[in-house]
Amino acid sequence: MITVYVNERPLEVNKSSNLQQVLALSVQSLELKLDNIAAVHNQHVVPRSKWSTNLCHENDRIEIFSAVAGG
Amino acid sequence: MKDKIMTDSGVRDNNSANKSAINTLSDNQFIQYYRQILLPLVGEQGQQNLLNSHVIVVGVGGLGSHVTQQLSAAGIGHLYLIDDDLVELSNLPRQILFDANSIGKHKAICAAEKVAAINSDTQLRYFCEKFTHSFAEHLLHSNVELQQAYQNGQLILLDCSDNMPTRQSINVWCAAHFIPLISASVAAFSGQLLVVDGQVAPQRGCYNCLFAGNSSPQGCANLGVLGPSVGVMASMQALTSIKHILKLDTELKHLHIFDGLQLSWRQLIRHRDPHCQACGHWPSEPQSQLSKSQKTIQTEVTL
Repeated sequence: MITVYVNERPLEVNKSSNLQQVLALSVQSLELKLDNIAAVHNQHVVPRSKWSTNLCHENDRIEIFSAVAGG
Repeated sequence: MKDKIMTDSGVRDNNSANKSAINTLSDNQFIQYYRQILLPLVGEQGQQNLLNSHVIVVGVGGLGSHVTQQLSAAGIGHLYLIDDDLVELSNLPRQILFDANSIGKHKAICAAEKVAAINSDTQLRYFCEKFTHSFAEHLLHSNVELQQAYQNGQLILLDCSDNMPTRQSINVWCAAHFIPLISASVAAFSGQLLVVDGQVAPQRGCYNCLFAGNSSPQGCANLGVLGPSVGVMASMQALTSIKHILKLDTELKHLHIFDGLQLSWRQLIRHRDPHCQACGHWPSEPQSQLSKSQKTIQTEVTL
């Protein structure tokens, strides 16, 4: 297991976890839907098509946020 | 479409005799813009570039109210205001171009009237229309001046809209035509700002590379917002626009996120989605200049 930080909170995940798996674990507790989020991995916004190939490592910082659409 | 546009559109121009390309500043203009010209990175040539630039503003609500005033005051020569909404009482705390007498009237018309009084150097065209691909195509191809500005790289678009379908539609159209897009948004205490430019920074992708077309974020109507938060984002959007016109962008790689509670900004590094349907035709590396045929690619993508 490794520890990653999702929106500053520690989360224990399998060593070979990818970003898609971490996001799927995290969105429920944040009351968000995967369709509505953008994901940041160590300060880099990761395009949706690369979530499943982006591997996570010990102490990685992951941030989940939503689009803001108001004007 | 043409009849409707003619019916619900117009021009506010207090100085119509002087709207050809500006190659030199008048004495009055030199005095008026002196504090801007004084900046070495602006100078007289920079001010001329601002006066010769064309800026489409989609949405003349909270963000649009602020940016149109700031851009006109700075000497942007041509503003195109697009909004099909009417002014409501609940708009007044943040949409500062409007007052009680504006309620029930078209935002685009009211905004054009108010902004026209700020600076006679700005020619204002307004369109009481919803932004759609077909409307944008009509606008670009029916206005000779706008088309010329587009071909000369003097056209940018500011997304000040208030909903995701419009934001995606704007992004697709700008990406198809390589028109630089300055996107700002705000709701609750959060703001987001980014520059999308398929010629200068194709490797950073577009709006759709960040946010999926089927996402459904909430806006000010659901989450609420404070007027000054809108003003902060609008000022950053206006500043970014001027910098882009003057080619002063130091980098275009970030998504800027504002936290109005902490009064803080964060920068996140953007990356292009290789499978993005909106910007898939972009080159992989920055281009110094695109050919006319490359610029006139016309695609309509449904996200």
